[in-house]
Amino acid sequence: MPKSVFSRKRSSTSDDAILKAHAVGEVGSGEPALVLLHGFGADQAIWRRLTHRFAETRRVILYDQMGCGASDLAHYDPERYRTLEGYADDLVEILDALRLRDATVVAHSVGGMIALLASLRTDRIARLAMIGASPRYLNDGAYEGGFELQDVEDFLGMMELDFQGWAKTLAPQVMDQPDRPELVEELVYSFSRANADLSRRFAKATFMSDHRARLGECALPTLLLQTRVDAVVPLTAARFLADHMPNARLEILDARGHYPQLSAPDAVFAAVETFLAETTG
Amino acid sequence: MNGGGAPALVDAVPVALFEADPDMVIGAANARMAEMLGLPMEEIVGRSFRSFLTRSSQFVYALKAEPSLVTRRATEETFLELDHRDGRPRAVLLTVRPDADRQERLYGALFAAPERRAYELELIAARRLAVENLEALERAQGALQDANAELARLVDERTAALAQRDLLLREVYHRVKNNLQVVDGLLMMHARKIRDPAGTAAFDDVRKRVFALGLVHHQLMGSADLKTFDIGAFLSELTMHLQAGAPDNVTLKIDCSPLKVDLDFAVPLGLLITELVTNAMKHAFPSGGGEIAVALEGPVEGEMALRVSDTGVGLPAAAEDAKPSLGLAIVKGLVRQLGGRIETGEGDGVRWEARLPAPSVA
Repeated sequence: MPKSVFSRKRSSTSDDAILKAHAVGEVGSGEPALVLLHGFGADQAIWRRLTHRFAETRRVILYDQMGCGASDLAHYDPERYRTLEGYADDLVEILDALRLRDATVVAHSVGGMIALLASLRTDRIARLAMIGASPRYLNDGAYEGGFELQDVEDFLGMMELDFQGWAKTLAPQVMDQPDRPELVEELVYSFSRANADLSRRFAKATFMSDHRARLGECALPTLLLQTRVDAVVPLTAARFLADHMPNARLEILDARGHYPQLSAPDAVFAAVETFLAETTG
Repeated sequence: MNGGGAPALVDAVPVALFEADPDMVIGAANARMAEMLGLPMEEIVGRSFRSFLTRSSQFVYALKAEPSLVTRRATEETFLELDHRDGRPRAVLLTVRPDADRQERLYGALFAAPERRAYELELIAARRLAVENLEALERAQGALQDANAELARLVDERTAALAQRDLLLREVYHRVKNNLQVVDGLLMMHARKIRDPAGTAAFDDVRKRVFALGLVHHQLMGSADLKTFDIGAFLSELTMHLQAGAPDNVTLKIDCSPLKVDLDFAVPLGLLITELVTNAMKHAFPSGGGEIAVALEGPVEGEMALRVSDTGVGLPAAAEDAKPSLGLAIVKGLVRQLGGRIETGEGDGVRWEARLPAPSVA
């Protein structure tokens, strides 16, 4: 994760509190601003191979979803984050706090539906790019989300079983200090203690969600990026998004896996830049 | 790895070993891997590693192992379940490292971890128990804090009540003293109207007694505990007052060590000294002057010694047979009240010596 310049342009205390609670950082300058949204099991560091490339020509904003990365767990409210709506509220509040206009949101995985929900309640978002997004992870009749309920329950169980292992994956990578392993170990320990439950709740909010009925409400220009093989989101789910969002275009990346921003950053960068060139004045 | 002159060790170790490309497509595997999957070798080579996993493990693999495989070509001890052909998933730990020289070649190992699930479940149970204990402890601490807060509140209330009581008591002493001053004023006014010198003298005696009473309450007002005060300060003020009413050629001397006394001791003692000194002033020096000495000593073995002596003319010879004076009756009454005894002794003039039980607060 490149060290981001943390510039504060607000004076309001509550705005500052929101930005601080989500470890909001920004780099670069230029309009329209780009907001990078991470998904389940990650934090803002997941964008490390793209942040500075996007920032060459514009302002780029990153943050950690509540309960993830370096977010302040003191702000965690189980009721608010029971569904993705609470996470969408966070995005709206952050956009408000930064007074952003005409913003582009590039969202990975479950971040895609969070961004979609947010776009329905603010006019600060002008366009969306979703990577590996899915409106529903569970199969439902003819709809193929990729998972049976039992799979997701097994997954939640395995997550709980491999508690320390997940903690290592989910610990804030922005703070990763390879030259001080004892610090990382300590971080993993404290993080895993606090976050075992939160991660499970986020997983539940993510994988039990169904936003198929809301897709038609979002008429923003939307780019959908999907890899050829993604164990989390089958192509059918990505196609469903493209078919039901009025102004969306699906692009299949020549890449594999659920994290093309890590495995194929060049392809993701090129696709998003093209989309931005098409949709911004 | 299998065949091709590979050492027997590779197939014998109780660990599944494989070689894969960066997309984790299996290039070679050992016999143990085929055993763990329940598949013939030809159904393993050429397939993606992910396809050997249960559906939920594919999920775990995609979210957890893949990001690290993509960025570091490595993953450590990822807990997964193999989709064994017999339908019973096999729990394993996956570790992958790139070849030191050729980063695009990955080496992987699968360790059977059948105990891992039970072990993790035990950990979860232990963790839950620890959290519950912690919560119980927090609740107990909360209850303790509440109890402490309640106790502090009661102490505050009690302290406030005591402060209120002290304030009232001080006020009462003050009023008693003021009322005694009013009585003194009334006595003075009446005394002025009386022409008979004996009557005037009687009024004066009463006023001295009233002053002694008022002085006790004045001392109590200034007392820290509102119960006790130092007898020394009290007696010196008392004698100063008595001296003021005495003829110029009569001097009054007081000798007293500091002693803590209460109301029950100070009132009769003050009145007793007033009586004895007044008596001496009246009778010891019919012509000329002299000295009256007051001494309070002790406590020695629980007893106080009060001596009031003068350098006057002494008692009249017939005194023993005379009708006891009011002053003497009061003296005897006060000594009785104090639980002591009094006698006259020999000296230049008259010498009174009283033995009094020490005040209980001393």
